[in-house]
Amino acid sequence: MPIMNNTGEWFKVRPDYYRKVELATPDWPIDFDLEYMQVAVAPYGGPLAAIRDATKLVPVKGAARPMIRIFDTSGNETGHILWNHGKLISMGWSDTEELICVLENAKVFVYDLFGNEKESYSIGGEASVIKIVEAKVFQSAAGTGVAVMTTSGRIFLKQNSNKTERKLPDIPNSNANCSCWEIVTEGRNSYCLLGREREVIKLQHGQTVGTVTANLFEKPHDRIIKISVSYNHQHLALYTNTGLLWLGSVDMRQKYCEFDTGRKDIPLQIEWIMNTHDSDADAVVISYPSYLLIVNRNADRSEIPSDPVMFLVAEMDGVRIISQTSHEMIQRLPKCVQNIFAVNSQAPASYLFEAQKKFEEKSYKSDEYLSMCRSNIELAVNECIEAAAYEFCPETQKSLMRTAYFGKGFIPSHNPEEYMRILRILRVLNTLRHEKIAMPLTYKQFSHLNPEVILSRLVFRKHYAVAIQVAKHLKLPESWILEHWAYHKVMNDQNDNEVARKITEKFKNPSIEGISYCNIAEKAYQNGRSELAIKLLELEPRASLHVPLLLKMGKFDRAVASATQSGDPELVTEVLLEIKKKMMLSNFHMIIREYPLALNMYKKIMMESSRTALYDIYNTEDDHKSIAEYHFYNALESEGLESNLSNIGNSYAQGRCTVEAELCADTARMLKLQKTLSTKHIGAAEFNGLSIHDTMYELLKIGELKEVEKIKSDYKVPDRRFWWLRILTLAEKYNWVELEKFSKSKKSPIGYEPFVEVCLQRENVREAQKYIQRCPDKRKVYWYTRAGLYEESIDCAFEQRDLHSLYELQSKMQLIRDPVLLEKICHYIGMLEARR
Amino acid sequence: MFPYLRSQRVNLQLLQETAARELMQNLDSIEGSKIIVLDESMVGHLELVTKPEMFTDRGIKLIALKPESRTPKDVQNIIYIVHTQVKLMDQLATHLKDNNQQGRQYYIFFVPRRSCLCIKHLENLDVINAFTHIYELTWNFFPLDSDVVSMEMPNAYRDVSIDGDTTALFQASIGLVQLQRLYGRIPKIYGKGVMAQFVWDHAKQLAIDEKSLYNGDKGAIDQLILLDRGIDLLSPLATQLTYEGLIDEFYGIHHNKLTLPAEHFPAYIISGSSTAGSEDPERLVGDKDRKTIFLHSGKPLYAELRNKNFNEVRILLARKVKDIQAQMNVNRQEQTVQEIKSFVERLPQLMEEKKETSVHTAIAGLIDERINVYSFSDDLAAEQEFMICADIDKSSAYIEDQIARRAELRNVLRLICLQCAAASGFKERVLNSYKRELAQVYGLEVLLTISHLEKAGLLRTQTESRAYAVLRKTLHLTVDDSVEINPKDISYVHSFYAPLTARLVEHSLKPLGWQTLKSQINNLPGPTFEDFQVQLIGIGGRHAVGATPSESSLMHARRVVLVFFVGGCTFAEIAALRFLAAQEDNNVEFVIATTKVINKHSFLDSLMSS
Repeated sequence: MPIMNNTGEWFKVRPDYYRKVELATPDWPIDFDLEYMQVAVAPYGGPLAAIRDATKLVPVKGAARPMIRIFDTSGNETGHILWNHGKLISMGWSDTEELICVLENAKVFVYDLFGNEKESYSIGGEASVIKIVEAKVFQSAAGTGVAVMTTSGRIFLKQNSNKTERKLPDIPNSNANCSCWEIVTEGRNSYCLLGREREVIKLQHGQTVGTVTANLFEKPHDRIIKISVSYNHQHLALYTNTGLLWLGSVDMRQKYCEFDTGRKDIPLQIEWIMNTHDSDADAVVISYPSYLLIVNRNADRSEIPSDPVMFLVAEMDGVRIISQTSHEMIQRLPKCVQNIFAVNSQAPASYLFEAQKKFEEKSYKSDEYLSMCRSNIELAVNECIEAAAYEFCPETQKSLMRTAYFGKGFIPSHNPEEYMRILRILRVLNTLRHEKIAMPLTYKQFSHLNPEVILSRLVFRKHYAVAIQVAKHLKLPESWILEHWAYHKVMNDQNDNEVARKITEKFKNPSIEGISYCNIAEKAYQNGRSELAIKLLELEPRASLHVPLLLKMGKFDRAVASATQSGDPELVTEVLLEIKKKMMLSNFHMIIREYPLALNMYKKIMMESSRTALYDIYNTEDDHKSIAEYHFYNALESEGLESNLSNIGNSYAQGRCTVEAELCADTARMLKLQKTLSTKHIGAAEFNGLSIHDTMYELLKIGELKEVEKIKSDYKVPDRRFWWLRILTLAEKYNWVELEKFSKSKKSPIGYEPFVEVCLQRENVREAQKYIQRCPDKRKVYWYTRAGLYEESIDCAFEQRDLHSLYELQSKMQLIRDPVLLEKICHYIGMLEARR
Repeated sequence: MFPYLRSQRVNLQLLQETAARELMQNLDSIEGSKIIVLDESMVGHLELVTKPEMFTDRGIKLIALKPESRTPKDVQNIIYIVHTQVKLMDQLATHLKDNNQQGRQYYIFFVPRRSCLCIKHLENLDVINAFTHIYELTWNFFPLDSDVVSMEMPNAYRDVSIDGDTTALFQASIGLVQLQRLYGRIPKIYGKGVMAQFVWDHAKQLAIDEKSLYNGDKGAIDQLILLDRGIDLLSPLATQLTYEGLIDEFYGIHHNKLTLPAEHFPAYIISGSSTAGSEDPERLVGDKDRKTIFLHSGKPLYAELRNKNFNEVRILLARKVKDIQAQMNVNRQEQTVQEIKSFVERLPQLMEEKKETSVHTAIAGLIDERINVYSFSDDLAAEQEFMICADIDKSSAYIEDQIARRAELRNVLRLICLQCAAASGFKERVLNSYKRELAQVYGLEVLLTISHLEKAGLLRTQTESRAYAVLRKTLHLTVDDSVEINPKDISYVHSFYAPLTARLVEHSLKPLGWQTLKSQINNLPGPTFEDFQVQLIGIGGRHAVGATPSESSLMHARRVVLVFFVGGCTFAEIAALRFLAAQEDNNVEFVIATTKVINKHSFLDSLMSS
């Protein structure tokens, strides 16, 4: 059976296997020595913060002032904090990778991983008054909290800056000092476990006193010196000054084992090792200087020699060990890995793995191995894929994936989705584990955090390029990453043109969706870079989005430009209403006249609200025709046309509307004339305000032909209309004699059809007939028909050889059922058709 | 609910349902008893997309926004559904103050979008704080029939051309995006005219973020043709000679409804129709002495008649009457029991047909009376002279006579504008003489109206090109051997004149049609443009390869073309397009979109109002 070198780091804590995996070796700066440091490390391969441990004697190097230095897991310094706030009690990391520093005076400072201060607050209450001695940063379902213990032995919890602190009950019989304490969370509540002498005290908020549990140990001891709660807050480990270890459930009702380490020295740290396959823990790791001890529930042990100084970091699926020279992880060996690589493994995956190796060697043995796992091949493939996900070494990952690839060829209709998914994730994990990125995550941690959080952590660390590649690879949206990149550029690059150019270059990629230059411009503006903001806005194709920022920036001119460019009249109106409030009217006019849509919308608004404003605009534009019309409308409304006519006419003339100007002058003259006429014919007729035509009509009605003829020549009334007027008024008066006389006075400029028409209107067919004869031949049929003189009409049509009219008449005769005429028509039609 | 909107390819029921859902969801989000107050022009709009049952089922009462309409005391919520018009806000504020009660909630639903002017006005009137919430009902296109959608904006052309207010155009752009959301991406776009280009440019700009549009396959609509009313101002001014066109011109069809004095109809028809629900929105403005007739394709007889030349309608109606009589008056004694049974079964349908026939006979009779007036045929003759460009460069004797007789100003102006359109502009001398004549007869105020018409491009001086005269020849706008009965060409809708817009669409259907047209219509105002909306190629690139053949392989299927008349279209133009779609050879279906169905009266009225 296969013997792999992978098994070298395995060790057995009966009945289970554990392994120690080497992660990228950290490259600490030369002046950095963990030994003299107080260290806080964030889980999930997060950053490490270190400050010189004041309790240790240190050879002083460099600046004497204390400094918190922040590193990533590869030992690159990402930031530092020059400490000048007073005595630091404790540090810890929140679940959003913020460094929380607790001071002696119960002040809390929060920094990001670059050492930039984000906020500070005080624990408040009694804690602020009395100094604190110890503090712990703890994780709970409600986020990261801070617990402090005051010199008076009281413990306060504070979830975050917005919440008030909670005081835990006093410690009963607090004459003896506590030796150790830990915060445990249970759902949304947190409580404190204290070790004092031989007892463990539970302090829970809301209870008046703490509950004391004693006599946990069978063997003799003086006091409990270490207390450790597992990552999932389910298990508890206690360590006594006599080297006794107690393992049990966190409620202390269940005891797993009591183990005598046989050591008298004080351990550095105790951490539970969480399982890889479920969220439980079976063993603890205890660190002593140069020595690691692993003990499990069955009281079996295993030990590993180690560096003199190290820090244990509990993870959700193992424990990381950070030392001066190495970075390792202890985890329980995943079952699938064990199945494949264990000595004498009978698991199908193990056979498959071997088969694949032989296949590559072109050995016939491949088939033999294959036949041994053929019946379970699906299981084997899945196990290989699963195992690959747990591996850290890319070579091993590759060989496992190759095996899976090889094996799935033997499964009909295998669903490759899981294979593809793991392959993708592995690439991402390997990238993240690279020393440049330094986020050594396990597959389980990756799945737990979920890719979005990881992307945001990458972005926060300014690994934009990697973040985008990862997003692409995992088919996640990437535009927001670019947006963050752009923010970064905006904040840090001082060359406006360069920034704008770089940003467009990146943004013009068509596959990027939903990205807005405006957000970035807004950021630029907030950073006081208006020039850049405008440059960026210009790049945004959707003009409507520019407007809010431009208004905010007071760039009214550009806001109007952008609003009109968007073509949205509503937006234009909004901008107009907004900027009109903030500007001098003259400036306002100057701006909007450049933009026709804005100008038109403004005119429209003003038309409804304030007509005088329109006048100002027409004036600035020298729009004389509109000015004329403006006066005109006003005159009509105030019924003062006469007094305004010269004004209107002048404006028309200035606007080169010659005809209109002339007509105004004519009307003015006419109005004057009407006054004299009205006084002259007082009682007989009223002329005021009538049109020229109507004035003539009224005069004709009262028989003032002379006056009418004078008006005709004065106002250049055309003959045609004059004749019509005469004819109509004569017919109105049934003055047929006069009408006939008039018809013979001159050759009619309008022909004689109007004569016919007016006669017919007054139903005087006899008179009409006179004039029909004087009509042009081709119109006679029409007028005869209209006069109801069908016989004449038919004759006439026949004379004209107008077959078309005859047909029409025929159908008409059919309607009125005149047999005589009908016969006549038929006869004529027959004759005309024959002649064709 | 609206069966007459149903159709296979572009089912406009979907549009109606979407609009109704938008309203109902907003209504349902408001708790407690409700009453809806509608501005009067909203009543018709609402009827196009909702049925009275929708409101009665929810126990919501509808009332009109009138000073005298009172809201019942026990209603908790008052909802105003109004157009975004500033002048409505005064009414609204007064109504609100008159009906204000403690503990009441007020809402506004703006159609088609909220407006800062209206809100500011409400602020000025000091009522804005009374409103709990202000909603938008983004209704841009209303379905009129299975193939017609209208924005119901009668003043679109006027607002744009006279005031330079492009709101209607921008709403049209939004509407086009909405239509594409419902019916999918339109791959090909053709257009002519400034307004058309504006609409398309902004529709495209607005759709930038609609990734789903561009990622999916093409939608139900294959092509969009945008036509600017400004390129053809003759057609809307000409007298329509189709049945529907004539009804609209004489009596006005509003929201698919015709309202006529009841006296014109036999009594049994009137009594039969009053069974409609009491909550029917039309009741709000209803009148007992008037009969309302629904005119849409849901009525088989009307669907058959509407697009026919009126001269054919007479014949068809006569035939129909004869037909029904024949069926009713068969000698029953000679029939077998089976035959009688089947007759009895068909009786209700027959009665319905009879009713419909008598309604339309009555309407046709009314139209006949109006047509047989001499002034009608004289006007028509004058129009037709203009259409064939006879004596078009002088001032027309007919028009001068009309002015001299002080005929109705609107009609005189119509004829002048029509002449102007046919002549592609007047010589300055001619225009001035008309102006002088009009002012001398109708008074100086007429100048203001003329100014409007000048701004709108209906009255203008000549430019070098004589677009109409040229296109009349090249596109056969007037047809010498046109027939009105069983026509072979769209020119039947105006007796012998084919509306330019419809002709353009007809030509664009031919292979390479638009390319050939492009050079021909260069002389018409505004740009000629075309555009394509292709599927965006995703990163995978897999879809794009498959998509191209599927888009072209549909060539043999009926094309669906959306024709959008920006600025309004007439029923005659709609009839012409329907005629084109009915020709098998064209292999095309049309969906017609318009800002409003207009006619010679309504078009001029909108332009003349100040």
